[in-house]
Amino acid sequence: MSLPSTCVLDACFIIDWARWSKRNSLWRVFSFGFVPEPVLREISTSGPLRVLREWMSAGFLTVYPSSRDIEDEALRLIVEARRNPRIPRIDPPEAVCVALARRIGAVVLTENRGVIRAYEIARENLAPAVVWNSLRLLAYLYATGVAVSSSFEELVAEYEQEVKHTFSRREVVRVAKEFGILRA
Amino acid sequence: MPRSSGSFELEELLKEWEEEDRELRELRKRRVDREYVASLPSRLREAVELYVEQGDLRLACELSGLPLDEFVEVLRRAGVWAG
Amino acid sequence: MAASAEELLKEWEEEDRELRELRRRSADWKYIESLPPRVREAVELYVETGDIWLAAKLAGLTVDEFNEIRIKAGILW
Repeated sequence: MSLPSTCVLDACFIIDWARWSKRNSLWRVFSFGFVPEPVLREISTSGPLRVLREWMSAGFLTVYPSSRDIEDEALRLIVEARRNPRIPRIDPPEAVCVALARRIGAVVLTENRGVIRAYEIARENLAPAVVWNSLRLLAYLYATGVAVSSSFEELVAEYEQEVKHTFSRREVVRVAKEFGILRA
Repeated sequence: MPRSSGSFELEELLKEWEEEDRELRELRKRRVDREYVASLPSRLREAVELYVEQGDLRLACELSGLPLDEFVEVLRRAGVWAG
Repeated sequence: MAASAEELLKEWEEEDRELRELRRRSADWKYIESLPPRVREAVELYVETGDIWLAAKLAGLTVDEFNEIRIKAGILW
Protein backbone atom coordinates (compact mmCIF):
# COMPACT_ATOMS: atom_id res chain seq x y z
CA MET A 1 0.00 0.00 0.00
CA SER A 2 1.47 3.37 -0.94
CA LEU A 3 1.32 6.41 1.29
CA PRO A 4 -1.68 8.72 0.69
CA SER A 5 -0.62 12.03 -0.83
CA THR A 6 -2.92 14.08 1.41
CA CYS A 7 -2.45 14.81 5.09
CA VAL A 8 -4.72 16.06 7.84
CA LEU A 9 -2.94 18.13 10.47
CA ASP A 10 -3.77 18.03 14.15
CA ALA A 11 -2.99 20.98 16.45
CA CYS A 12 -0.29 19.33 18.54
CA PHE A 13 1.56 18.28 15.38
CA ILE A 14 1.40 21.81 13.93
CA ILE A 15 2.52 23.39 17.21
CA ASP A 16 5.69 21.29 17.16
CA TRP A 17 6.48 20.87 13.46
CA ALA A 18 6.15 24.61 12.86
CA ARG A 19 9.24 25.14 15.04
CA TRP A 20 11.50 22.87 12.99
CA SER A 21 13.82 24.56 10.52
CA LYS A 22 13.11 21.83 7.93
CA ARG A 23 9.34 21.96 8.37
CA ASN A 24 8.72 22.47 4.65
CA SER A 25 9.99 18.96 3.95
CA LEU A 26 6.41 18.01 4.87
CA TRP A 27 5.43 19.07 1.35
CA ARG A 28 7.95 16.75 -0.19
CA VAL A 29 5.98 13.87 1.27
CA PHE A 30 2.44 15.18 0.81
CA SER A 31 1.08 17.18 -2.08
CA PHE A 32 -1.76 18.73 -0.10
CA GLY A 33 -3.14 19.04 3.42
CA PHE A 34 -6.23 19.94 5.41
CA VAL A 35 -6.48 21.49 8.82
CA PRO A 36 -9.98 20.93 10.25
CA GLU A 37 -11.67 24.03 11.60
CA PRO A 38 -11.92 22.70 15.19
CA VAL A 39 -8.16 22.11 15.09
CA LEU A 40 -7.48 25.62 13.79
CA ARG A 41 -9.41 27.03 16.75
CA GLU A 42 -6.84 25.48 19.09
CA ILE A 43 -3.98 27.53 17.67
CA SER A 44 -3.57 31.09 18.85
CA THR A 45 0.15 31.90 19.00
CA SER A 46 1.93 33.74 16.24
CA GLY A 47 4.63 31.15 15.43
CA PRO A 48 2.35 28.28 14.33
CA LEU A 49 -0.15 30.73 12.81
CA ARG A 50 2.57 32.29 10.65
CA VAL A 51 3.64 28.88 9.38
CA LEU A 52 0.02 27.94 8.61
CA ARG A 53 -0.37 31.20 6.72
CA GLU A 54 2.80 30.51 4.68
CA TRP A 55 1.61 27.05 3.77
CA MET A 56 -1.84 28.33 2.83
CA SER A 57 -0.28 31.09 0.73
CA ALA A 58 1.83 28.52 -1.06
CA GLY A 59 -1.28 26.46 -1.80
CA PHE A 60 -0.24 23.41 0.23
CA LEU A 61 -2.87 23.66 2.91
CA THR A 62 -6.49 24.61 3.31
CA VAL A 63 -9.09 24.58 6.07
CA TYR A 64 -11.72 21.87 6.22
CA PRO A 65 -14.81 23.65 7.57
CA SER A 66 -16.79 22.31 10.52
CA SER A 67 -19.34 19.86 9.23
CA ARG A 68 -22.10 18.05 10.99
CA ASP A 69 -21.53 14.72 9.27
CA ILE A 70 -17.77 14.66 9.98
CA GLU A 71 -18.43 15.57 13.60
CA ASP A 72 -21.07 12.85 13.87
CA GLU A 73 -18.59 10.36 12.45
CA ALA A 74 -15.96 11.61 14.90
CA LEU A 75 -18.38 10.99 17.75
CA ARG A 76 -19.06 7.44 16.48
CA LEU A 77 -15.30 6.81 16.41
CA ILE A 78 -14.92 8.01 20.00
CA VAL A 79 -17.76 5.78 21.18
CA GLU A 80 -16.47 2.75 19.20
CA ALA A 81 -13.03 3.22 20.73
CA ARG A 82 -14.56 3.41 24.22
CA ARG A 83 -16.22 0.03 23.71
CA ASN A 84 -12.82 -1.64 23.54
CA PRO A 85 -10.99 -1.00 26.82
CA ARG A 86 -7.69 -1.78 25.14
CA ILE A 87 -8.08 1.06 22.67
CA PRO A 88 -6.80 4.27 24.24
CA ARG A 89 -9.08 7.28 24.48
CA ILE A 90 -9.48 9.27 21.27
CA ASP A 91 -10.21 12.94 21.93
CA PRO A 92 -12.69 14.98 19.85
CA PRO A 93 -10.26 17.11 17.78
CA GLU A 94 -8.22 14.01 16.87
CA ALA A 95 -11.42 12.10 16.11
CA VAL A 96 -12.40 14.84 13.65
CA CYS A 97 -8.99 14.49 11.96
CA VAL A 98 -9.40 10.72 11.71
CA ALA A 99 -12.99 10.96 10.47
CA LEU A 100 -11.88 13.33 7.71
CA ALA A 101 -8.82 11.22 6.85
CA ARG A 102 -10.98 8.10 6.67
CA ARG A 103 -13.37 9.86 4.32
CA ILE A 104 -10.66 10.97 1.87
CA GLY A 105 -7.86 8.44 2.47
CA ALA A 106 -5.26 10.61 4.14
CA VAL A 107 -2.53 10.53 6.76
CA VAL A 108 -3.36 12.14 10.10
CA LEU A 109 -0.35 13.86 11.65
CA THR A 110 -0.73 14.16 15.41
CA GLU A 111 1.24 13.93 18.64
CA ASN A 112 -1.76 12.60 20.53
CA ARG A 113 -0.69 9.23 21.90
CA GLY A 114 -4.27 8.03 22.30
CA VAL A 115 -5.13 8.14 18.63
CA ILE A 116 -1.66 6.94 17.54
CA ARG A 117 -2.01 3.89 19.74
CA ALA A 118 -5.61 3.33 18.68
CA TYR A 119 -4.29 3.15 15.13
CA GLU A 120 -1.49 0.76 16.10
CA ILE A 121 -3.92 -1.59 17.77
CA ALA A 122 -6.81 -1.46 15.29
CA ARG A 123 -5.65 -0.18 11.90
CA GLU A 124 -8.50 -1.85 10.08
CA ASN A 125 -11.03 0.19 12.11
CA LEU A 126 -9.47 3.46 11.00
CA ALA A 127 -8.51 2.49 7.43
CA PRO A 128 -8.01 4.00 4.93
CA ALA A 129 -6.75 6.68 7.34
CA VAL A 130 -3.13 6.33 8.44
CA VAL A 131 -2.08 7.92 11.73
CA TRP A 132 1.47 9.09 12.27
CA ASN A 133 3.25 11.23 14.79
CA SER A 134 6.20 13.45 13.90
CA LEU A 135 8.61 10.63 14.81
CA ARG A 136 7.12 8.39 12.13
CA LEU A 137 7.19 11.26 9.64
CA LEU A 138 10.86 11.84 10.47
CA ALA A 139 11.51 8.12 9.95
CA TYR A 140 9.80 8.27 6.56
CA LEU A 141 11.76 11.39 5.59
CA TYR A 142 14.99 9.65 6.57
CA ALA A 143 14.16 6.27 5.02
CA THR A 144 13.22 7.87 1.70
CA GLY A 145 16.25 10.18 1.63
CA VAL A 146 14.20 13.39 1.79
CA ALA A 147 15.85 14.32 5.08
CA VAL A 148 19.59 13.85 4.91
CA SER A 149 21.37 13.22 8.18
CA SER A 150 24.34 11.18 9.38
CA SER A 151 21.88 8.91 11.16
CA PHE A 152 18.22 8.67 12.09
CA GLU A 153 19.18 9.29 15.72
CA GLU A 154 20.94 12.51 14.68
CA LEU A 155 17.86 13.65 12.78
CA VAL A 156 15.64 12.92 15.78
CA ALA A 157 18.07 14.70 18.11
CA GLU A 158 18.07 17.76 15.85
CA TYR A 159 14.27 17.79 15.80
CA GLU A 160 14.02 17.35 19.58
CA GLN A 161 16.50 20.14 20.15
CA GLU A 162 14.77 22.65 17.89
CA VAL A 163 11.24 21.75 18.89
CA LYS A 164 11.96 21.12 22.58
CA HIS A 165 9.95 17.91 22.49
CA THR A 166 11.52 14.66 23.68
CA PHE A 167 10.57 11.24 22.33
CA SER A 168 10.75 7.96 24.20
CA ARG A 169 14.04 6.24 23.30
CA ARG A 170 12.17 2.94 23.12
CA GLU A 171 9.73 4.42 20.64
CA VAL A 172 12.60 5.80 18.54
CA VAL A 173 14.07 2.29 18.28
CA ARG A 174 10.65 0.72 17.59
CA VAL A 175 9.84 3.23 14.85
CA ALA A 176 13.30 2.82 13.30
CA LYS A 177 12.60 -0.91 13.01
CA GLU A 178 9.09 -0.30 11.63
CA PHE A 179 10.52 1.82 8.84
CA GLY A 180 13.36 -0.56 8.05
CA ILE A 181 16.00 1.84 9.34
CA LEU A 182 17.09 -0.65 11.97
CA ARG A 183 16.94 -4.39 11.45
CA ALA A 184 14.03 -5.87 13.41
CA MET B 1 5.48 2.02 4.14
CA PRO B 2 6.31 0.37 7.51
CA ARG B 3 5.39 -3.21 8.16
CA SER B 4 2.13 -3.70 9.96
CA SER B 5 2.29 -3.87 13.72
CA GLY B 6 0.07 -6.95 13.27
CA SER B 7 3.39 -8.81 13.51
CA PHE B 8 3.62 -7.55 17.09
CA GLU B 9 1.50 -9.60 19.44
CA LEU B 10 -1.11 -7.41 21.09
CA GLU B 11 0.17 -8.22 24.56
CA GLU B 12 3.71 -7.32 23.54
CA LEU B 13 2.45 -4.01 22.18
CA LEU B 14 0.63 -3.22 25.42
CA LYS B 15 3.75 -4.08 27.42
CA GLU B 16 5.87 -1.93 25.14
CA TRP B 17 3.51 1.02 25.64
CA GLU B 18 3.69 0.54 29.39
CA GLU B 19 7.48 0.69 29.23
CA GLU B 20 7.41 3.78 27.01
CA ASP B 21 4.98 5.51 29.37
CA ARG B 22 7.19 4.66 32.32
CA GLU B 23 10.26 5.96 30.53
CA LEU B 24 8.53 9.21 29.63
CA ARG B 25 7.14 9.72 33.13
CA GLU B 26 10.59 9.30 34.63
CA LEU B 27 12.05 11.65 32.05
CA ARG B 28 9.45 14.35 32.81
CA LYS B 29 10.01 13.99 36.56
CA ARG B 30 13.78 14.21 36.14
CA ARG B 31 13.72 17.23 33.88
CA VAL B 32 10.97 19.32 35.40
CA ASP B 33 12.05 22.84 36.31
CA ARG B 34 10.53 22.85 39.82
CA GLU B 35 11.28 26.49 40.43
CA TYR B 36 9.45 27.54 37.29
CA VAL B 37 6.47 25.28 38.01
CA ALA B 38 6.22 26.59 41.58
CA SER B 39 6.02 30.13 40.20
CA LEU B 40 2.94 29.37 38.08
CA PRO B 41 -0.62 30.27 39.10
CA SER B 42 -2.21 27.36 40.95
CA ARG B 43 -4.47 26.12 38.16
CA LEU B 44 -1.64 26.05 35.65
CA ARG B 45 0.72 24.51 38.19
CA GLU B 46 -1.76 21.69 38.81
CA ALA B 47 -2.15 21.16 35.09
CA VAL B 48 1.62 20.86 34.60
CA GLU B 49 1.88 18.46 37.55
CA LEU B 50 -0.90 16.37 36.02
CA TYR B 51 0.95 16.30 32.74
CA VAL B 52 4.23 15.33 34.44
CA GLU B 53 2.48 12.46 36.17
CA GLN B 54 0.20 11.19 33.40
CA GLY B 55 1.48 12.59 30.10
CA ASP B 56 -2.10 13.23 28.98
CA LEU B 57 -1.77 16.49 27.06
CA ARG B 58 -5.44 17.15 26.38
CA LEU B 59 -6.60 16.47 29.90
CA ALA B 60 -3.87 18.64 31.39
CA CYS B 61 -4.58 21.36 28.85
CA GLU B 62 -8.29 21.34 29.76
CA LEU B 63 -7.33 21.74 33.41
CA SER B 64 -5.01 24.61 32.62
CA GLY B 65 -7.71 26.63 30.86
CA LEU B 66 -5.15 27.70 28.26
CA PRO B 67 -5.32 27.24 24.50
CA LEU B 68 -3.35 24.18 23.45
CA ASP B 69 -0.37 25.97 21.93
CA GLU B 70 0.06 28.23 24.96
CA PHE B 71 -0.04 25.22 27.26
CA VAL B 72 2.59 23.41 25.19
CA GLU B 73 4.79 26.53 25.52
CA VAL B 74 4.45 26.27 29.31
CA LEU B 75 5.42 22.59 29.15
CA ARG B 76 8.45 23.44 27.01
CA ARG B 77 9.48 26.13 29.43
CA ALA B 78 9.06 23.63 32.30
CA GLY B 79 11.28 21.19 30.39
CA VAL B 80 8.65 18.45 30.33
CA TRP B 81 7.18 18.43 26.83
CA ALA B 82 7.74 14.77 25.98
CA GLY B 83 5.86 11.94 24.40
CA MET C 1 -9.99 31.93 -31.39
CA ALA C 2 -10.02 30.76 -27.78
CA ALA C 3 -6.77 31.16 -25.92
CA SER C 4 -4.89 27.95 -25.37
CA ALA C 5 -4.82 26.57 -21.82
CA GLU C 6 -1.19 27.61 -21.43
CA GLU C 7 -1.90 31.18 -22.51
CA LEU C 8 -4.87 31.36 -20.14
CA LEU C 9 -2.82 30.11 -17.19
CA LYS C 10 -0.10 32.65 -17.95
CA GLU C 11 -2.68 35.41 -18.17
CA TRP C 12 -4.20 34.43 -14.81
CA GLU C 13 -0.75 34.34 -13.26
CA GLU C 14 -0.13 37.89 -14.43
CA GLU C 15 -3.52 39.08 -13.20
CA ASP C 16 -2.91 37.43 -9.80
CA ARG C 17 0.48 39.10 -9.56
CA GLU C 18 -1.02 42.50 -10.44
CA LEU C 19 -3.80 42.11 -7.84
CA ARG C 20 -1.36 40.94 -5.18
CA GLU C 21 0.73 44.05 -5.78
CA LEU C 22 -2.37 46.26 -5.58
CA ARG C 23 -3.41 44.67 -2.28
CA ARG C 24 0.11 45.05 -0.85
CA ARG C 25 0.39 48.71 -1.87
CA SER C 26 -3.08 49.64 -0.62
CA ALA C 27 -2.72 47.95 2.78
CA ASP C 28 -2.39 50.01 5.97
CA TRP C 29 0.50 48.02 7.44
CA LYS C 30 0.56 49.99 10.65
CA TYR C 31 -3.03 48.98 11.34
CA ILE C 32 -2.30 45.39 10.31
CA GLU C 33 0.68 45.13 12.69
CA SER C 34 -1.60 46.24 15.54
CA LEU C 35 -3.99 43.31 15.04
CA PRO C 36 -3.98 40.16 17.23
CA PRO C 37 -1.76 37.37 15.78
CA ARG C 38 -4.54 35.23 14.33
CA VAL C 39 -6.23 38.11 12.52
CA ARG C 40 -2.91 39.62 11.43
CA GLU C 41 -1.81 36.35 9.83
CA ALA C 42 -5.18 36.03 8.16
CA VAL C 43 -4.90 39.54 6.71
CA GLU C 44 -1.41 38.74 5.40
CA LEU C 45 -2.83 35.58 3.86
CA TYR C 46 -5.51 37.65 2.19
CA VAL C 47 -2.97 40.15 0.85
CA GLU C 48 -0.92 37.28 -0.55
CA THR C 49 -3.70 35.17 -2.07
CA GLY C 50 -6.89 37.25 -2.28
CA ASP C 51 -8.70 34.23 -0.84
CA ILE C 52 -11.21 35.80 1.51
CA TRP C 53 -12.84 32.51 2.55
CA LEU C 54 -9.57 30.94 3.62
CA ALA C 55 -8.41 34.12 5.32
CA ALA C 56 -11.69 34.35 7.24
CA LYS C 57 -11.31 30.74 8.36
CA LEU C 58 -7.77 31.37 9.53
CA ALA C 59 -9.01 34.44 11.41
CA GLY C 60 -11.81 32.44 12.99
CA LEU C 61 -14.30 34.96 11.62
CA THR C 62 -17.21 34.88 9.23
CA VAL C 63 -16.48 36.20 5.76
CA ASP C 64 -18.37 39.44 6.40
CA GLU C 65 -16.60 40.00 9.73
CA PHE C 66 -13.28 39.51 7.98
CA ASN C 67 -14.38 41.80 5.20
CA GLU C 68 -14.89 44.58 7.76
CA ILE C 69 -11.28 44.18 8.80
CA ARG C 70 -10.15 44.12 5.18
CA ILE C 71 -11.91 47.46 4.68
CA LYS C 72 -10.36 48.97 7.83
CA ALA C 73 -6.97 47.77 6.64
CA GLY C 74 -7.57 49.60 3.36
CA ILE C 75 -6.94 46.51 1.26
CA LEU C 76 -8.46 46.53 -2.20
CA TRP C 77 -10.99 43.83 -2.94
